[in-house]
Amino acid sequence: MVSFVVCEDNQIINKNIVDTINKLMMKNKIPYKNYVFYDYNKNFMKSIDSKLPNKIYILDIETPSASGIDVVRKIREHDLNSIIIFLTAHDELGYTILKQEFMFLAFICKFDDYLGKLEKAIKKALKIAGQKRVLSFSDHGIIYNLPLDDIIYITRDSVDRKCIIKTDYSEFKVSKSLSELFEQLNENFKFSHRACIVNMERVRTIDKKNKIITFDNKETIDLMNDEFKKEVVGVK
Amino acid sequence: MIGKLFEYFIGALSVSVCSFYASYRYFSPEIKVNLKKHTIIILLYSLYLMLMYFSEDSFIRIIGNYCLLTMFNCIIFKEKIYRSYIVSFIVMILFLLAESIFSFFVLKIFMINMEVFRENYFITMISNISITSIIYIFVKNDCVTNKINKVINYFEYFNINRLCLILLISIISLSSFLYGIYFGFSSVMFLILNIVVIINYIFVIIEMVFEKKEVLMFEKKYNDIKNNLETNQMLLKKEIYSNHENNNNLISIRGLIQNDKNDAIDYINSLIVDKRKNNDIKISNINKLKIYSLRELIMNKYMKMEEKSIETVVNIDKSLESFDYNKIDIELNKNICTIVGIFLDNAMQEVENNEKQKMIGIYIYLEKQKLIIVISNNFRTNKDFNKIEDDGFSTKGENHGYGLSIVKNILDNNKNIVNYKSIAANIFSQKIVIKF
Repeated sequence: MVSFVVCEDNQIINKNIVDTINKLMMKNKIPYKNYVFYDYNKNFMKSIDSKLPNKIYILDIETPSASGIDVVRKIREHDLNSIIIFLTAHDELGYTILKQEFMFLAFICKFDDYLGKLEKAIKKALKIAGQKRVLSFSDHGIIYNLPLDDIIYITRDSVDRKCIIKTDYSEFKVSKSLSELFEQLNENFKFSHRACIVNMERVRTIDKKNKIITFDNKETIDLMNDEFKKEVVGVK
Repeated sequence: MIGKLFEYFIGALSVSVCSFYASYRYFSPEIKVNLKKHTIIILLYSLYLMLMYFSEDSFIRIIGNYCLLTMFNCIIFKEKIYRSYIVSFIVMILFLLAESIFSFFVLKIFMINMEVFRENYFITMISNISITSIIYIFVKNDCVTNKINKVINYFEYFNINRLCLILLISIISLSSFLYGIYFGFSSVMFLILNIVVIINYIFVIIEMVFEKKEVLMFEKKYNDIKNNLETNQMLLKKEIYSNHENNNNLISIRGLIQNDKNDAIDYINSLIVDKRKNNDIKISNINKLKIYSLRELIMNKYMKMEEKSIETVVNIDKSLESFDYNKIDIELNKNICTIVGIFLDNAMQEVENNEKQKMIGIYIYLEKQKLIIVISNNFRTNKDFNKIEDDGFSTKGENHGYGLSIVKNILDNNKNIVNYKSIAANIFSQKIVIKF
């Protein structure tokens, strides 16, 4: 079951969005329900707090009563896994930071084939809907929310006694154990070694002979045990 | 008796002429010589000095001398009283200095006893002429005169009443010390003198502390005005640029309409989603903030971010429209501005070094009657966040990182302000929560 929460003040655009969802979901034959709003009113706020299954938000950046940014901030305060697609009348370029900070799936400009782009974004959203998407923990007074897709692998530094989370943009050294972190990951992550967890979605090649794993960003590691080799035979 | 009077008169006349010459040099006026009037004044002043040779009370001599010289300077040079007062003070100091030099030579080099001066009036006359000669050398030196003129001009910025009092006490105490050396100290006189000098300088120090406080206040006001001015200048620059662009666009549209209306519509559509439009929205968004000092700070930083091509998002929540800004007193306001200023500077420095992306987000909103300010920025790879709490720690190199120590100090002393740090993907956020 997928729950689409749509909020758009323009009636025509709102109707077009709902039509696009209906058209796409009819083809997919996945059960779904639309929750349609024209403003960020009390009912909309209730929908944020309600435990609807697999929420996909399609939101307008600005409505008469509130800003979509304020709304999305409220959503993210207690829900890191729902999918958010934003529609905007302004330049998309200025909102890259919002996209990364609030983990939006897409920013769609209303002036540029928005229905086509929306269809693509919904298809992408359906693939990841219901999955755990974020690794969330606190360390040294800092709250970390790292999208699982961005994590390449996690290793243990025996000298510093810290875990190193390797992502596309940075390495995070945290005072957590590998098993603690593993509990928070989804099924895409596997132990390749007792000191290393890899994101299988990011693995490109596995050289079993030389025990080398190569990732999609061309990075390599040589932490691989026999158990992992056995498990991945036939998979990669 | 006549010989003694003549020697007194010659000594007094030399001092009188020298005093007015020195005053003339420091006033630097283009005075017309009125021979009759000026001669009378010089003779009157000489007469007073001559009479004072018979007085044993040094204080009356000095105060009378100072007041009379001030008055005569006023009459001869047609200057304001406070300026005459300052110049007369400098002339008196010059005399004290010259007397000190002369005394040093007489007492220490030539080993002549002071009693000889008291008994031998011819020597008194010679010593007066010698002292005036020393002063003449001082006064004639253009370099020294220019510097003293600068000091006189600087004195004009002082509180006149206070300055007069300080100068008077200084002249009495300095002269008394000198006469003490000549004629021996009385312990009571020495005590009184010390007390007067100490009170004088305590008074000066207290005044200076108050003045410093005022200067700091003015400096703060000046900086605020300067920042506002800079912001407005930048806004004006943008407006000029915008007008120029609008003119060009209108010319282009006119050309397109003449040729093909559809092209013109496409062109207008492309302008609607222009980046400048977003800037206007952001500026109007910042203007929603009614904490004016914070608004100006954010506006100023935003302009700098624009100049540095930093992609910026500013979001002031609509919930702030109902917020009672009276809850923020001056001290809290200052602390908020300090913290936000430091966080924004740090964010700017961090993203400036990032070649790929430069992004900063500013969000201000209310949550359960708490004011929340969030400043976010993307960061460079492999930044060590574990050390961010350490005093003086910075990824920006030496002599950086003390801003965060200031923030820590404010947070330690203000329990109603709390700071949370978070990382979402490659965005680092500093959240400031202000409880009321």
